[in-house]
Amino acid sequence: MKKRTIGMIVYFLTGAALLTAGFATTEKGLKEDDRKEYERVIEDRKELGDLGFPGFSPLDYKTAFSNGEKDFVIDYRNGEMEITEREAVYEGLVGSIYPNGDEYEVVVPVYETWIATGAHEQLSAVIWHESFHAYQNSCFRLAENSADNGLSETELAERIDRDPEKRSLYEKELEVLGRVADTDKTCDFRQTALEYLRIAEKRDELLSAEEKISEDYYELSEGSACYVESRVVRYENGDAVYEDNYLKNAASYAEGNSKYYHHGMLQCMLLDGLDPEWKSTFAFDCSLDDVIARYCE
Amino acid sequence: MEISLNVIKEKIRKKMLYITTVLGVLVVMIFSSDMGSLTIGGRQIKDYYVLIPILIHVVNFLSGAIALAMSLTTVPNEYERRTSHLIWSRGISQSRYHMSLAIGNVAVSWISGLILYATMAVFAVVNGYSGMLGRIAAAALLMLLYTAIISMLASALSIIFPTIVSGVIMIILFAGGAFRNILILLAAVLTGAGGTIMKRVIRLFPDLAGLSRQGGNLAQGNPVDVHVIIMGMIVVWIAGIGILFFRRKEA
Repeated sequence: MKKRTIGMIVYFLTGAALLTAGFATTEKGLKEDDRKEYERVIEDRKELGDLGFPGFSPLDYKTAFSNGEKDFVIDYRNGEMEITEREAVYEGLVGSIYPNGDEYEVVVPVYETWIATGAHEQLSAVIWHESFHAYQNSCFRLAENSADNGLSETELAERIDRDPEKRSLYEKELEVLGRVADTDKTCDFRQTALEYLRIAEKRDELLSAEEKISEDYYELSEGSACYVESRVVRYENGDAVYEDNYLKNAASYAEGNSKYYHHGMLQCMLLDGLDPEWKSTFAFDCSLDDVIARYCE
Repeated sequence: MEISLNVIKEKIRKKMLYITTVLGVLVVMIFSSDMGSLTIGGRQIKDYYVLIPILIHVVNFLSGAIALAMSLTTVPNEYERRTSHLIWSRGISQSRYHMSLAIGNVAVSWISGLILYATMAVFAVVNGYSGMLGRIAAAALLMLLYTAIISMLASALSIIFPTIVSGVIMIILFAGGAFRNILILLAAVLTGAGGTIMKRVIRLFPDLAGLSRQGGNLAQGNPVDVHVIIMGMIVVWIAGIGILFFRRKEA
């Protein structure tokens, strides 16, 4: 046989071997990276428990990893992951909850898309965040009870960003609340709460009814979820990352939606300072301001 | 072998290798030293262990760009100078001739890529991370695959297309592959038919970003996705088929 023919045979055999290896290593269904993120949630749950919110567990809600075309849904029962595949319930890049019959499911992007966003947080922390929304709505019907006359998050944020007076007082609220995030100083929580409530009361007079309802709702729903997420990140990544990602800029006013996340998180931290047990009886039936006021009576 | 060696010698003689590599070394130096500060999401990255996967992305991209610049013109230049005719007169087949030129291109790309990795290794030692040298060497193996993909594809396309056409196709393939993550994100954000089409188009790009990510995983001692490496090797193999079977009209 000619040298050239032998060379060609070897070349094509190599190709056949590579193609076989390529098919053999192709991941079908839920990818390993996504599975690892969910396993991290399972591990974290063992250590973090319900984070003080009675009955809360991210493992109680089905979690869908979505690539925009397909959802890979994990149902965690009796220590086992049952994985199913379905058409994506949301298009695009989504971190949300999905009402499926009587229950809420968590929908997060697949890991491959998540890391492409350059986000600091682990995807597992996002699962905690979204599953906390599932908890708020499954156990307390938060959205159903609160947001009937409300504005969308973006519309509300735009209104406040454009109004110098409302904006300036919100900046002051954040500044005062920011004391609870100052790791260098000891905070007088009661004094901080009283000062904060004085500003909040003055600012409430400027808000329309729909603005007030909406703001209370987003601070409560997103703020408390952000608080839960920050606790998970602190546990997973340590104090330095936690401080850098959650505390450093929390008290700075940011245009857009993120200020409600930070404001609500700081309110939860203030409540921790007033009474670490505040969560144990909280039923998501009033605003965080109301809870703070109750502890200052 | 002789043809491949001639390609290497020519690139050295024309100083192409020096110029591109010196530019690359400068960039690596800037990223690795205090001269440049890398800030991501408002945070300064100073820890070399954290910096190394990012550096690997940068160095691989530079190596790929050098491989592209040096591989695109080799075949057209040979035909323009009619060196090819001297080869035919010796009874060497077009397939063998093209493959030898492509191997020369790959070798030159590897030399410049390895110089960039050596620079990175020096800075790892300077920053007190000499323990990472073995892992950086392992990551360099993936750079060899990264540059081989670019070099082989550029060599194959330059056989059948004019330099300008193969250049444009290669820049699209290279940019699409190196920034595949961004395209994936864009496809995820897009809804409707646009998103579906984009998801299909992305599959046509070699996963160069994935290879760099695996290099970063190797350097940090994290698990590596073998599938990405195998797919990279398949791209080299497919480009090899092109080199073996594409024919030049002038020949």
